[in-house]
Amino acid sequence: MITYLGVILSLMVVFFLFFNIVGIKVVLGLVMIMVPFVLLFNHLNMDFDEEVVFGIFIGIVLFPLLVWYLNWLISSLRITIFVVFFLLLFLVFVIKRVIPQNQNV
Amino acid sequence: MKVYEIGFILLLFIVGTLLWTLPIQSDQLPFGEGDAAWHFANGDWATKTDHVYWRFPFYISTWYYNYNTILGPGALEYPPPYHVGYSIFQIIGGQRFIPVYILIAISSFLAAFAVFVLLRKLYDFPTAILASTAMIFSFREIMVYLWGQRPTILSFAFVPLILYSVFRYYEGYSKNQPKIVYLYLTGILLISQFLIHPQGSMLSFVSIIIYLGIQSLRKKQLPINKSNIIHLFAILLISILIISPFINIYRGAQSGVETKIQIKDLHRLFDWMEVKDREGYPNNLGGPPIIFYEINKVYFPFYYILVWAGVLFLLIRREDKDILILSWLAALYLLIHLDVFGLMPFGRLSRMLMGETALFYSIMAIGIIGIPKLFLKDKQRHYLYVLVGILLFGLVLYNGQNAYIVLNNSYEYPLRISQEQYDTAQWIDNNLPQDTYIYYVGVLTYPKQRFMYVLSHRPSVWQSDSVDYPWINITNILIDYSDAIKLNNQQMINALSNYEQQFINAGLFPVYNQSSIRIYDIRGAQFVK
Repeated sequence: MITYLGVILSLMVVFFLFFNIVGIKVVLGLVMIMVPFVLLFNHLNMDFDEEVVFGIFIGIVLFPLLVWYLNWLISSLRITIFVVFFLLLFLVFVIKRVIPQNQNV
Repeated sequence: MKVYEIGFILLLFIVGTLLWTLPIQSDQLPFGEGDAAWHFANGDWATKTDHVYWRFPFYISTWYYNYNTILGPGALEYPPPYHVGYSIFQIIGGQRFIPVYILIAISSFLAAFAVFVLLRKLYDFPTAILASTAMIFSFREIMVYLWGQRPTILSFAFVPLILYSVFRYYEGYSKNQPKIVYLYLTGILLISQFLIHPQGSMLSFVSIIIYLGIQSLRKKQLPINKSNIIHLFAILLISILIISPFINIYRGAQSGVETKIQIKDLHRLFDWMEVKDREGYPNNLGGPPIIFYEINKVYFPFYYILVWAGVLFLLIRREDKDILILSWLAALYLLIHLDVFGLMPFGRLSRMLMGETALFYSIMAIGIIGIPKLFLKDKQRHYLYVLVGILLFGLVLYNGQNAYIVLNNSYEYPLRISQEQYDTAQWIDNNLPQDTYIYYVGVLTYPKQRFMYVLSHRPSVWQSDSVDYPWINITNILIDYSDAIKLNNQQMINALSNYEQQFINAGLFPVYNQSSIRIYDIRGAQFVK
């Protein structure tokens, strides 16, 4: 957890220096699309590099895909983005309960 | 994972982001060729309307095919995730251009991280450092990123990660310790890649087939058995559920290029990618410009010696991981020679070269580190880090410097829209009716006009475009003196002034007249193109 916070804070500082407040928001956006997947992979005992790289590759496609689907049920795209984020976190929470950590999957 | 390895990943990400966003750091207005504007339009419209869509608005639908043979007019031309990503970052970033362009930059150099994971896990840290650093400076990816075929770059970036997943799964499976999670990851990554662009999926798919085929023969063990078949069916079911709504987007797309199955130019099988004997060489190869193929610029002089050394090393050693890399090489070879059998037109096939850089840099790094390792004792392994340090210095000095120069100087004015032109596009968006169709005169380049087109959310044509299509009904004329004035081109100013005279003579007044750009409403009036 400390590693992740350190990485995110470092990125926020660098992005702020080059892109001002927009840079910080972009880092938060990246965190938002990756975090549910990173948490899932962390639970599956992957290494840091696997968690992050799988997280960004899958997050960059599946997060927007879910937004696209759910936006047909929710009138606002802006609201849908946050709904998808919390929905994914909830799904990860459920998966964590179903699959115990350290199980060889 | 060790702290210094995490530090390296972080450093690589920061360097990559700062390098690849150079074009947006110096000027915050959008850049790229026509394709870049088109992709931007896809996400920008969803942000404006605060809703995703299944049918394009009129101004986007008339851009390329305008008709999908299965889904009909106005159908999407790509599955939605890539462009919805633009919208998400516009919304979260709270700004129209910078967040999207940071996302584009990051997604365009992601291959470096896929290569890192593949080589770090299957080979070693020095190999991973070398190849992933080289990928950050990859000239071919940088060119395509600047031009605008950005989904294709991202799609090919998935390949090393998919191969890593397959390897992890098959490695466990062949030792009777299957790691099912990697089977699911492979499936999800393949689906994700397909939804971004199908060309990258072709490379992944063929590489997997070749790898599993070879391994099955070597180990005399099929990659499927009772224990995993249920998971394979589950993955297939998930894939069908996710992909099926979008499959007709690709199936019904009209590329405008027909292929005929036939064998021709068999000698091409003995070249990797020779373009000198191709029709249209060197100016019009039916795909990217000639610079895309100039491999010394893409890599560095005599790079092929290192590629050959790496390939020989892999062929001689033939460990499971080496077979994986060789399968990737064989798959790419097959795919970039599909035109020999008439299975794919050259213009489309040439984009397969975007799958080459990650592969070649991986092979080079494996050879550079692997060959000396054969001769070094364990106590002498630190010499490898000295070698890596020297090579990294060379990479930064040659490839890094070139990458910096290209990125730092790309799309400077007059090749990018100016603030004045952007203000005009916004005025059009806010003030002109939805059925407006604008004819642009004076905007210096086609991509600039395309960006004004998408930023104004109104269809338009440029001065060199044909207006002879049934859906084009010009309602307004935009005369832009700004580029000519800034370039101090008196001849162009006079030509524009003479052109504008026809509207003044007809008694028309500009509906927009800010500094050096004017817009006339010509409904009911005649105009000369």
